[in-house]
Amino acid sequence: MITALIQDAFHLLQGEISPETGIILHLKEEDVWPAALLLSEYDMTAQRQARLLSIYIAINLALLRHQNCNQLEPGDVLTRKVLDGDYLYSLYVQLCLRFEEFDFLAHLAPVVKQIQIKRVEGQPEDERLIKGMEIFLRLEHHRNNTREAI
Amino acid sequence: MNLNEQLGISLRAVDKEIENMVKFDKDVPRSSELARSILELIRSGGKRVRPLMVIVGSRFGSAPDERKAWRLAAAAEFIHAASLIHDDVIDDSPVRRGDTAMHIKLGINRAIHVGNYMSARVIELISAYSADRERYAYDLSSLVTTQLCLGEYQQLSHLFDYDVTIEQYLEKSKNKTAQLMAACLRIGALSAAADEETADLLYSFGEKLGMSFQIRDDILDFTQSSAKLGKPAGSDLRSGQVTLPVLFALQDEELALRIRSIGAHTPAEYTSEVIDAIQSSGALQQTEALSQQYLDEAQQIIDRLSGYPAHRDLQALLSFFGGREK
Repeated sequence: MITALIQDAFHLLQGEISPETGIILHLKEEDVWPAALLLSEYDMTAQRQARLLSIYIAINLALLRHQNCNQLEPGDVLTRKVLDGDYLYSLYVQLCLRFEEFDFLAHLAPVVKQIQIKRVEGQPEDERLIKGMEIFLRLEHHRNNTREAI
Repeated sequence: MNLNEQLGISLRAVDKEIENMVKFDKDVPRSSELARSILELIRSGGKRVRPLMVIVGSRFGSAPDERKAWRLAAAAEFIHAASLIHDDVIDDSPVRRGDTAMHIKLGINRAIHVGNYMSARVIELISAYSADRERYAYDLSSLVTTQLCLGEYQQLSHLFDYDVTIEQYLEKSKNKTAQLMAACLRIGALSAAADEETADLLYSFGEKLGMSFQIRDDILDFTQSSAKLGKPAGSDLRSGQVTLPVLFALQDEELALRIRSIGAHTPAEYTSEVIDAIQSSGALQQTEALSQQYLDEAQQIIDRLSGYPAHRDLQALLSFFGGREK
């Protein structure tokens, strides 16, 4: 089930990426597994799970693309790494808007920003992303339960 | 008189609004290198064309919300500045606005993350005003740089490609430059509750100014002295960018043969000779004519908006873009 969710999210995201970018997804399944497992624990449609996971993957991939750019000389490879990261950061926002995941975006935006701050400080805390997603899901679950109880 | 003075907008107030984006971020200590780097970049100057366009756009609405318009104006400049930081990394440019470029000061990695921080800060601020989701969705999707990135990819995939068409060049320029300028006027207008038709006209006006701006930039690469450009004339072609003057020059069969022989490893002296030939061909005049055509079309839009007192501000913008150094 988790594998199927990851596959769905990969396909969804690859379909959303403009072919002009030449970006081919090649994240390792184990990198996405914790986020997929987390999503599977919450009561939501398979479509929404895949959508949220695709947004998570886009951010994750952007973080990876903008990692260790200093090891490259100026040229085509560096240019593509910078551009890919920029494109994927903007794509995650577009996906949130397209899927009408406004609360998810409002919750993740400060998290993505804080990750950048930690990276500038030279003390990366990229794990904030999955923690941020976990808090969002927990809050949403709590809100839904409270609403039902009322 | 400067553009901002003609528009009655204090550049100092605009700069303060931009600085506040980082100063009032509770996650960024004021004494941090991140805050210092961004403030240095902002204080190094710039004409603030995009923020001015947002504020001008807001003058076409029936319910101006000054706070909102100024916040969006600052956001537009933040997005633009972030893209400049990344551009400098990609182009390996050591100087920005007369100051050392950020990636030289901080290193490539940290400079890239500073740019990312600036974009993420804009998304954070806009997504926080959740009362009107349709509005914020529009503002966000206008300001995120998907189109700008696509323009860069298009440019990258056509390096030394002399078969690129004028249509493809125009599409790239629209994505890379004109879209954000157009969006600035439109989001400003919508922030003040302008009607859709007016907002669309403003978008179209901004797009035409942006196209003219990019085309003029391509001409300047051929006409300005290397001292002024900070790089040799014709640098775009030397780095493989086939811009509009080159596309027009390619219509001359004899010149086309010489241009097509230029590649990544062509000796600089040979390329310089071809650049001289392009300069003395009619290609720059043809390019200038197309730039002027966009400005003429922009003028027609001003005429359609002449019922608004703020149409004079569009005229000031048009004069500014049209009067750039040739």
